[in-house]
Amino acid sequence: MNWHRSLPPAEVLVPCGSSSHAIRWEAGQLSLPAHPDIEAELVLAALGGDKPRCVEVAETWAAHAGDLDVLMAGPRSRADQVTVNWDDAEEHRANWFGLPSAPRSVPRLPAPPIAGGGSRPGIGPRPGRIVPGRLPEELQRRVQARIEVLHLLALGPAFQFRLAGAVTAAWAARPAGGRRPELVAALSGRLAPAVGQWLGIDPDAVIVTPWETGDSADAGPAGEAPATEGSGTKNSVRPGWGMLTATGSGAGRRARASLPVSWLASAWACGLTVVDGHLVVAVEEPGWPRARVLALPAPDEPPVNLDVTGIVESPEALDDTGAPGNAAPALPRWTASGTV
Amino acid sequence: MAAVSERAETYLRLLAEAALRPAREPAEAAGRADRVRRAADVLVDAGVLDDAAATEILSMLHTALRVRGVQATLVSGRIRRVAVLPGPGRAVFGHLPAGKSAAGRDVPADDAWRVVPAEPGRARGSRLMALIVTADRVIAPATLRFSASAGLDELAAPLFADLTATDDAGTSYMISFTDGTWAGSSWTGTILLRPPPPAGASELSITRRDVPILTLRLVPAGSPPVDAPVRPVDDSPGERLLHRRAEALLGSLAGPSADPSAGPLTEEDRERATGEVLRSLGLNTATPAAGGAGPVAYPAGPGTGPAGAVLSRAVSHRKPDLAELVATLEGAGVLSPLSEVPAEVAALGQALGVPGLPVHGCEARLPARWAGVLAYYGRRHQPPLAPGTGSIGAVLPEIDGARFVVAGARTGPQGTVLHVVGRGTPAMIRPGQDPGFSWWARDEAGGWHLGVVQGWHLGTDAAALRLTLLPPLRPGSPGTASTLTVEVTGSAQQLTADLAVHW
Repeated sequence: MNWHRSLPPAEVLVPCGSSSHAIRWEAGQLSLPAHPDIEAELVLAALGGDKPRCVEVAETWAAHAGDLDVLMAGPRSRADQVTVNWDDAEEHRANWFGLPSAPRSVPRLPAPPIAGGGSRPGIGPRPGRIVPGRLPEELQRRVQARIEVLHLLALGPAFQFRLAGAVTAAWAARPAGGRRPELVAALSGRLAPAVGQWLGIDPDAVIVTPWETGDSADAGPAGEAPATEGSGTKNSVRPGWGMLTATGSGAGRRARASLPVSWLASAWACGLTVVDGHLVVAVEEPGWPRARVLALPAPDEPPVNLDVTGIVESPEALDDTGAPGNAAPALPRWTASGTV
Repeated sequence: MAAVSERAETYLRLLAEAALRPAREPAEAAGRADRVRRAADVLVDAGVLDDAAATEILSMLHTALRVRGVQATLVSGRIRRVAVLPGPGRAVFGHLPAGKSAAGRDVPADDAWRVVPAEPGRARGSRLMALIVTADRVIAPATLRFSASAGLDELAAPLFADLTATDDAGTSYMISFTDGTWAGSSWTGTILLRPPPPAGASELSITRRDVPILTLRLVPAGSPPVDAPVRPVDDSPGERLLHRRAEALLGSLAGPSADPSAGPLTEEDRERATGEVLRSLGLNTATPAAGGAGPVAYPAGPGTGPAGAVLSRAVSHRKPDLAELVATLEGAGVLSPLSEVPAEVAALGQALGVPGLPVHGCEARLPARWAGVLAYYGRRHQPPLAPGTGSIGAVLPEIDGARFVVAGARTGPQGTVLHVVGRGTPAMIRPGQDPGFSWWARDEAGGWHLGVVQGWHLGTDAAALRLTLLPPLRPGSPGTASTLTVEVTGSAQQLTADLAVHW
C-alpha cells in the first residue's frame, strides 16, 4: 500500500549520545542520517556496547508499526493535540498501576532545543524498567509496550500521524480477526469528526461502520474494484468506495458513513479528509504535493474526482527536500486544483 | 458468544472514542470518561466483556485522556485488582477457575474434592452441615455450640484460640474460621482445617480444653454430583444482569446478617447493610420519589423503605442509573429493546420506594417470585423463627464453569443462611459485587426463597459463600424445609436440583 506517497518527509531531533541527531521519515520509512549502518550499530550493542538512542527509537518504531494502541492514544484530527514527552511516559507508568516510579536507568538529560526555535521538552532519558516482581509478567510487557507507544508519540505530531498511517495500512492489508472492535473504533473516532466537520454537525450524530472486504480489514486501494463483503457475512460483492447518507435537518441532522479501514492510511493520515467542501472518501492517485482523490460534494451525491495540491503551512515547515533543521508540521493542507 | 463479546467490546470502544472528543470544559470530559467506566462495569457484570478487555480499554482511555490534558480516574481499582490476583487466564481478572488456585497454582481436578454429608439425626449440640475435603484443606460449614455458661462476652477470638483439631491417625490440624454469626452460645460459620486428612484417618475431632466440640466423620468416598439437569438460559445476558440487580435490590430487605446478640435492627443498621448492596445496583438517585414508598410497608416507616433511605443520600461514586444501565445493555446488543425486564425492575424499585426511577414501566407486573418476597416482608407481623441447622452436603453439576457444594442451612432469629462452597466463581472482592449467579430455592410448599450473597471467604481455590434466604426457611414447620429445590442460574446455564435437608 503506497499511502505514504501523499505525505512530505518529516524530521525530528532526539538526544543521542552527547549530541542531538535527526530522525527522518520519508516514503514510509524511518532513516537515521547520523547512523547510516544500523546493522553494525546493533551488532555493537549486542556485543555490549551502548545502543544509540536513535537506533532505539527506530527499533521501537518498527516494533509498533502495527500496534493498534497507537490509534487509541494518538491524534484523531489535526486539531486533536496529543502532548506527551518521555518524562510523561514515566509518570504514566506510575499512575497506571499505583506503583512508585520506576528507577531510571540513565540520568535525565536536558531537553534539547529543536531547530526552528521551538522546543520539545523532555525527549531525553531512555525508559526505566518495570519494577520486577510487582506485576504479572504479561502485565509488565503490556506496560512496557504502552510506554514505548508514548515515547513514539513524543516525537511530535508529524510522526504521530505517520505512525498511525503505518499502523492502519498494516491492518488494512490483513484480516481484522479479534481486533475488529479496535479498528471499528479507530475508524469511527476519525471519520465521525471529519464527517461532522464537513456537514456541520456533532460527531456524535455520525454513525460509522467499516466498509469491509472478504479477506482483509477493508477494501484494497480506494476506488478499486469490488471487494467481497456483505453486512458482516462476507458473502456478497460490495463494489465502490463505501457509503454515506444523511437524514434530518438542523440539530436533528444525522449521518451514516461507511468507508474502508484503508481510508485511515490513504486519506486521513495524510490530512486528506475535507478538501474545499468535499469529503475525501478515497485516494485514487497518491502523491506529494499533488494527488487525485475521490470526494463527495454532498451526502447522497456520487463522488467526483478531484486533483488536490498540498502545502505545508507552518513557517518552520519542511521544504520539499525535508532539509534538516526544520520542525515538522503535523499535516499538510490540501486544496482542490481542479475537478477531473 | 464470541459475536456477543465483540459487539460489547466495540460498543465500549466507541464510547471511549466519544469520550475523547473535545469537551467544552474539563468536567464534561471527565464525565464522559466516567460514563465509559460505568459501561465497562456493566458489561463485565453482564458477562459479555472480559475483565481483562475492559481493563485494557479503560487503561488506554486513561492514557489517551492524559496526553490530552484530561485527568480521569478510570482504572486504578481495576488494575490493583488485577495485580492482587496474579495468575493466568481468567484467574487474573477475578475468577477462581476449577483447577487453578487464586495464586495461579495448579490444583487437582474437581474430583479431588470429596464431599461428605453430615450424619443425620443429631438434633442438639454442635452440627456439621457437610465436609468438603479439597486438595489442601478441609472446609466444614457447621454450627458450634459452646457452654452456655461462657456468656457472650467471652465468645470471641480467645475462645476460638482454644480450639484444637486432631484425627484418629494422630494428625494435628491448623484450624481457622470464616466470619460467622452467633445465636446465644452457638456460632455458625465455616471451619477451615489444614492439611487435608491422610488416607488412614476416619474421624476428626475439634475440642476445646479437652472437651469435644464437634466430631467429623471422614469416609473414603465422597458424594457424587446430584443428578440435576443443566440447561441453557432463555434470558439474554442483559436480562440476566437486570434480574441479578433486582435480586440484589430485594436482598436489601434482609438487613445485615449481623450478630443476633447485638439486638434488634435499627434503621441505621439497615442503611449500612443495604448501602453496600445498593451502591452496585445502578438505581441510586439523590431525590426521593414523590409519593414515598410503594405498596410494601417497611419497619422504617412510610416514605422510606430501606432502599429508599439509603438511596436518598448522595452517593459519591456515581453508578449508572437504571436508564443508563438499560441504554448500555441495549447499545451493546445484549438486551432487546422489546424486553419487559427493565420495566419489571422499575416496578420493583417503585415497590421498594427507590426514588428517581422512570415512571414509565413502573406499572409492569412483578414476577411472581419477586412479589412473593415483597409480600413476606410487607407483612406487619412476621412469626418468630425457630433455630435449626440443616445439613445438605450436595455437589451440584458444573454450571458456567463453576462448581458448587451446598453444605447446609442455618436458621436463626434473624433469618436463614445457606452455606455454599464454590470454585470457578467470580472472586468476591468488594461488597455488593455482582456474584454472577442467581440463587433461588423452593420449599415443599411451593414458596420461593431468594438467595442473596451476604458474605464470603476467599480461599486459595474455593470460596465459602453465605447466602441469606429471603424469606427464611422455617425448620419444624410441616412441609416447608425437608426438601429444597435449588435453582442456580448463571449467565448462560441454569440447573435445578432437589436437595434433601436434614435438620
